[in-house]
This record gives sequence, structure tokens and C-alpha cells, in this order.
Amino acid sequence: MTYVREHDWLQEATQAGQEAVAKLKARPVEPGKYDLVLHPSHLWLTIHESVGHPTELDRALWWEANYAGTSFITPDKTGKLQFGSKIVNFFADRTQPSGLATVAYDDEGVPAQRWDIVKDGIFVDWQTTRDLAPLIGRKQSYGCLHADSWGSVPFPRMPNISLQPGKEPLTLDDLVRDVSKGILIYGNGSFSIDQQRYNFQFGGQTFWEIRDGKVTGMLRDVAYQSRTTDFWNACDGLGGPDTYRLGGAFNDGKGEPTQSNAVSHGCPVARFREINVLNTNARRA
Amino acid sequence: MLLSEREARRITRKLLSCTTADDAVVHVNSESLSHLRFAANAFTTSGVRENVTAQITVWIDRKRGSASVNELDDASLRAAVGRAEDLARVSPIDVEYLPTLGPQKYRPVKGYAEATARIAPEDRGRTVNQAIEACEKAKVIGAGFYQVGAAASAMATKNGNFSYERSTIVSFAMTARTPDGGSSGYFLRNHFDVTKFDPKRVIEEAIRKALESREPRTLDAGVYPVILEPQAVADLTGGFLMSSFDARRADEGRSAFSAPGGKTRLGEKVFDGRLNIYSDPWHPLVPGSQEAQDGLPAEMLYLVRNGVVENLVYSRFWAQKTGKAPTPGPVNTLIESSGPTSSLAEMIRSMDRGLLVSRFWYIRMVDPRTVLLTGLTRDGVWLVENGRIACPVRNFRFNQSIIEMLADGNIDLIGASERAGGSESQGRAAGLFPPLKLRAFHFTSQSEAV
Repeated sequence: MTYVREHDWLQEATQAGQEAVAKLKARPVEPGKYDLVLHPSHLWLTIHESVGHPTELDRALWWEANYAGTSFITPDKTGKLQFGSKIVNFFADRTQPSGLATVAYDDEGVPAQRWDIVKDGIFVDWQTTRDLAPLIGRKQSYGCLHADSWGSVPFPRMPNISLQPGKEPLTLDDLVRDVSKGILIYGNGSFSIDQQRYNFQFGGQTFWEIRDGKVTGMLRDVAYQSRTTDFWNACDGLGGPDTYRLGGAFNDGKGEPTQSNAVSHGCPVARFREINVLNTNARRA
Repeated sequence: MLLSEREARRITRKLLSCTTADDAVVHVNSESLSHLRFAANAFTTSGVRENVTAQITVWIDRKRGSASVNELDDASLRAAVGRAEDLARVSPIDVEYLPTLGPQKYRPVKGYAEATARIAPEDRGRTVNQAIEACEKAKVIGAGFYQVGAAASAMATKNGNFSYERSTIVSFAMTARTPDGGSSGYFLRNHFDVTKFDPKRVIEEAIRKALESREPRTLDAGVYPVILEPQAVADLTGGFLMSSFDARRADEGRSAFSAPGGKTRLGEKVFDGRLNIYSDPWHPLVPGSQEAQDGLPAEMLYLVRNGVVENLVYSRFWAQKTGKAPTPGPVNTLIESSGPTSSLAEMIRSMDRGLLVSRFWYIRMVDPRTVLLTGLTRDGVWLVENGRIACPVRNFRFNQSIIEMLADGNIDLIGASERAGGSESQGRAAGLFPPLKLRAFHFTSQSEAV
């Protein structure tokens, strides 16, 4: 309720209207390689798809092979896979304040907890349940079992998974300042990722051209394509704790029959070097 | 246990009798869903869910409120009506309110089969067991999902309309993967009538595709001629294309069927001249519903006939605002050739160099103005050279306008349509979809996912 009461809805409505009008005059993006500065209002979804889902152990064991898919990460890569650059740290946390997947206990009665998923760029741990944990030699579950209703079978669902902010108190402007040719992206647009979570494509809501360290104007028809580990290894800048925001979804689909899970992902503003950008306007392509 | 028409009518009457609102519509739905899932060549989960829900929407001084409940005793129904009325009183004016319909005449649809509704747990177990045995014999790892749904739905309005219909569906989807994780095959089919359903074909095709996808080559992304199997066509066109025929979006310049100057492309030949895209509520293979939007009696509806956009879909509100008739559909999706058809084998024989695509996955709208979709191939792509399948290839991401894909000049051959359901909807929906041989399809990057 705090969010509902304190969020500045009128400001957001005004901003949305202004941005919709600005989009009519936005310049089409030239396809090519760009440095991306991604705002938390956008990046949470990229984290969800490229970090949250491939670190679900049931996927890695092919239990979801018929629908959601498997994972490019296999148990033997635990502690070895260079998932991202050294500044990249992801943690799972079912105790996170305001998180949509925050609980006291999971559906097996396992207490909510926090643990590392990626530490200093290395993939170190999985999302587990009591069924899954022993299969990779763990004695205890991390408490990820959940059913979305009385009529659903409980099965492994994603906890809140978040990117730790950088240690330095960097701002969005600090990250933009070191970009000669780039794009700043806010908000979520179209999103798609393959069944093993390698290849993804994301759009956004607003796209702002960065030239020589400055935001110069609005772009349109932007989407970026990358490969999960290439993308996170291209991360060379993280905003400080003041830029950290939680985003989330109420409707993360998985399972057969499909169940819907609510989950949050926090992150600071972040910078990625040399990412492939497309122009999505088929009439111009 | 599904609600009978008599029970459903009693509940709708009870709900309507509880409200003093100016107008109201109630829906009562009963559903039974049973399912069996397997993975890694073993049964994983099984369940049966039965539920009944009642929903009421009321308008008070043109202000709308809704509530739903799944307890059907009088006190619970009365409480739901009270919640809907409370919400209406604090809601803004519903500027798109139109009075609910009075009595309508419906022509029933045959989409319910008693044999399907009676499928027992043993029947589901037998089919899945056959799948696991076949996987073990073929030395592949199987995963899949067998589900049976039965539903009875009723709708009634304060102005005297009432509709009741039942439907069933049986669906089986299966993925087979080689133990090294190097290749994968998938097949999905469903039917409303289990006596006409062939799960053996699902098992055989999934395993065949996995075995024939071993040791794939990596090809560069780019523009390729393609042959799309019916599953691939269902995945691309089932939801995204059909929803793009909305008249309001076209009138407001937001759709692929918008034209300059606030006009639309109605009457224009947008698609290949052999292509028919239509809805037929009474089609014997893919029956729809007797009821279209807001309870209008469904009718046969051509959206595209011989490549020409014949109808856009007017909601009741938009029809009233623009002086048009509301559109009685679509209630299902049928895509067929009005001319001679070609078999998949003939399509392959006639291809010099291109790709055969089994299915698509994680498809999302990128630009509704061109129905530009992105997504990926999954579970079987093969290179065709000189009229023969040369080898399997790795998956691709595509960015492709479906309007351009189906346009005049891009479709080479159209096959006979068959019943298929979009794989992202897990086989709960179905339509008629043909295989297509296309001259150009845009693959924009390579994916190593299997």
C-alpha cells in the first residue's frame, strides 16, 4: 500500500503523455553496435529472463523440457561458469522487503532466505526445493516451492533475484558520461528469449541517444539482441545503491498447466558495452 | 461435475434477482481439468481440478463494477452481487457502456464429446506410459503433458438474454531429446473428441524429429526461403494475426490494416490471392462457440477472402460509435487455400535451397503496425537442398512481419490445412492451419539453444 499511496501517479501520467508525443518525432535508430545504459525500470525484466529462469534447477534437469524449456547452465558448471564480468553479483532473496516473491515460508515450510546466485561474475548456486536440493548434493532447500492456487500442483518457482548495486556511489549521469555512442533505455517493451536462455531480444518504452557522454535526443524502433553470458560479461558499470530500484511481474508463467508467479528483481542502473541493436520497423528494414 | 443447463440457469437467475442495478450480465462457468505430466522418462505430476465460478457485472448510473465467487449458495451469490454494486458506486462512468443484449437465438455448436469428458486417469496413464516406453526404446529422453478439459458455461443478462454451451478438449504434447542434449523434437495435437484423437502420432513425430535433428550444422542468420509445418504456422498466426483485425485499432492508425488519412485497408488485397482467413463456429473439425463478443450469436465470418480484407472486427462499442454493425466473431481461426494444395513432400521436392521449420517459440509482438513478430525456431530446423532434406541446422531468432509473410508474391505453395494449436497455449486452443512454402523469411541471429 505504501507504493500505491506514495507513488506520484499524476507526474507519471504527465510524463507518459509527453513521451508519447515525443515518440512521434523520435529519430529511427541506425542498426549496429551500441553501448547500452539500462535503467532499472527496464533491466529488471532482462534479469528475470536471462538470470532468473536459467538458474532454476528443475529446468537444468530437463523437468520443464516440454514447455518452458531447459537451461544453458548445467549442474557441472556450478562454481565455474563465467556468467558475467567481475562486478556482476546476483542474489536470490525471499526475505527482500517489498518483493513480490517475499514470503515467510515456502509451500514445504522451508523458511525464506537469501543466497548468492552469481558471485564476482561466477555462477555459484541454484534455485532449489526439497526435491531438487539433494540432486546436486545439497542438504537443504532454498525454499522455492510454490503453487499459485488451491487447484495447482506446487513446483519450483522463482524467488526475488536481484543485481547488487556497485560499491561506488555512481549515478546514471556518471555511467552516461563515459559513453561515446550509446542508447539509454527506460521501461519494458517486447521481450523474447530462447528455451535454454541463451539468445534474447528486448525492446523498451523510451530510447535516448547518447553521443560523447551526453543524452542528445529520443530514438525509436530500438531492440537489442544478445547472448546471456556475452551480455553480462559486457557489463562494465553499475550505479550505486541510490540508483537501485525493484521492478517485477505478477504473471510469470511456467509449468503445465501453466501457473502464474509474482516476482521482483532489483537492480541499479547498469552499462553494457558493444551490444547489437536492431531497427524493428519492418517498413524501413 | 459440469453444471447442467438447468442448474446454470437457476444460478444466473438467482444472481440477477439479487441486483437492483440498472443493468447486469452474469457468467457461470464450471470446469473440470485433469492432467498428467512426465519428464526425464518418468511420471512427474498428476491432478484433477474441478471448479465453478460465477461472475456478475453491474452498471449503476453507467458506472460498472464486477465481482466473482466460487461458492454458489444463496448467501455467497448475494454477497458477490453486493461487492459488484459497491464497486460500481465508487467507479467512474463507463464511457463505453452499451445496454446488455436482450434475448438472442443461438445455433448450437458441436464441440462437446462425452467420451472426452469421461477420459479416466488410467487412460491418461496408458498413453503417457506408451510415450515413455517409446522414448526408452528409441534411446531418447521424453517429457510431455496430457490434459483433458471439459467446461460448461452460461451467460445471462438483465435484459433477458441467456446462453449455455459445453465443450471438451483432449491435448497431448511431447518433447523428445537425445541424452547428450544435442537435439530435440516436439509434437502437439488436440481434439474435442477423443475418439478422433491420435496420441500415437504425437509420440512418433516427437521422437522422429529428435532423431533426425542430431548433429545440426550452424548456418548464418539471414533471409531464407522456408517451409513452415502447420505447427509453425499455428504458432505465428493463431493469436497475433487474428487480434490485428480489430477495427478500432485500424481506424485509429494503430494497426497493419490502417491506411493514410484515417482510412483502413478494408477491401484491399493485402494477402496472397489463394488465402482465406475465416471463422466458422460450426466447423466439424474445429468447432468454435455459439457466442461471439458480448453474447452476439456467432456467425460464419471471412476476415480475408482470396487475399482481400473482407471484414475488420467491430466491437459493439466501436460499431455504435462509427455507425457500423458489431462483428459476430471470430470464434475460431481457419486459414486455408482457396486453390489446389501441395503436400509437405511436394514442397520439399520443389525447394532448391531453404529451411524446413517445425515450430516457433517465445513469439512476441514487436510492431503491431506491421504485425512484426520476434521469436525463435525450436525442436527441429532442417536445411533443404536440391529437393531433399540435407541436414539439421541450429535454431534461429526471427524478426518477421506476418503481413509481409502472407503477402502476394511471398507465398509459393500452400498445403492442406490440419487441426493444430499454438504451442505456447499448451494445446488449449485449436484452429486449422496449412503448411506454407515461403520465398523469404527473416532470421536475424543464430541461437545455440536446443
